[in-house]
Amino acid sequence: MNSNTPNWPVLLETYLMTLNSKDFAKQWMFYRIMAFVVGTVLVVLSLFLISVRVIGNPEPAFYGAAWMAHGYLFPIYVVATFMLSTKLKWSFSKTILVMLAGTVPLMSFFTERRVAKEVVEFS
Amino acid sequence: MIRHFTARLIGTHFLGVFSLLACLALANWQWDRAHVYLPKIELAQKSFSELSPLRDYLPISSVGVSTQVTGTWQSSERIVLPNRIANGPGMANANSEQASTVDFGGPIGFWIVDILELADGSSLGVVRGFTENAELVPLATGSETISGVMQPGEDVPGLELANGINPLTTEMIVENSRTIAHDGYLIADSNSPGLIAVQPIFKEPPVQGLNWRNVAYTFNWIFFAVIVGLMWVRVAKDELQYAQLASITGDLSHDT
Repeated sequence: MNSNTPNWPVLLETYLMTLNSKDFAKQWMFYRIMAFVVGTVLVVLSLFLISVRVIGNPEPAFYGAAWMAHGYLFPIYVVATFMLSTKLKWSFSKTILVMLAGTVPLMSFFTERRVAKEVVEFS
Repeated sequence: MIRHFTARLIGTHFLGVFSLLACLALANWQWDRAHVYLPKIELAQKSFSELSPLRDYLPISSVGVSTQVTGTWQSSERIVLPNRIANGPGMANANSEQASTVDFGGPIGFWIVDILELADGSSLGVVRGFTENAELVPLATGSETISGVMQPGEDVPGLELANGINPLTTEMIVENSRTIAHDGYLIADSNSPGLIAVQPIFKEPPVQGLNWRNVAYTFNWIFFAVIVGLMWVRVAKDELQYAQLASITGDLSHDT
């Protein structure tokens, strides 16, 4: 190996060692909470969407506001995912996929379970 | 030596700028939709091309303005809207907080909407009139000049139709048109055989301020833009940190 070539595994290990484990626990918890909140809100809204658009029931009074709330919760979920991705050194595409899981009903729950396994391995 | 211009860093900057601009463009779009600007209401008759620009939303200032349009009827498709009355404003539910069941107090029937193909190849939905028996109204054929007023799609924010009436939307007109369709529709003020002229819901441009939903979406996109900006800075800093670590480790290995 060329002596000038960076030794990436060593670099990564060095970088990870500098991480504060308390920070990681907080970020992991932040992600889990946001995945649960966004997932729950999306499932409930999807049920109302079917009720309104497919069955033809009238829109509940909170319908527009609830979608708006999801619009604001999702960016927070994106932040939580991003912060976790920097700790776990995810690839760009994986980070984007986990972020997009917050837009598909139920998907954030499955994703959170998969990420939990990875966190256990990481710890 | 720290490498400030790695391929990953350049890619990060490119993606950061693109995402930020996209968020701001979407915020601007929502703000345009939220903010109804009425410089001057002129209800004098205008040419149709002036009122309804193709490939754009029907300008709010065009609503209720008289115009004339000439075209050929597309006789293959027709939209028939049930549970309606001839008096358009009577169908609008004034108080959306209360139950939307209203006694129309008049005959309930159908609005007949035919598609007029204009000389420029575009399509325009025309409410030709009201009837209690839609099956007796023959399809419109041939060329005709129609006068009337333009109306926005009935799914416009702030309008709620009473008794669960299915709104006439631009989407419905697009689905029934063979060519690119104008936003909104024309309500003919002349009587077609077997039809009663319909009174438009909006007789003049609706005066309103800001639509709260679009305002909230505007700030939603700004919020997203801020987050994108922060992520961009964080990724760039991480990349530089990596480059610094690589530089240090490279130097050490060189020394040993």
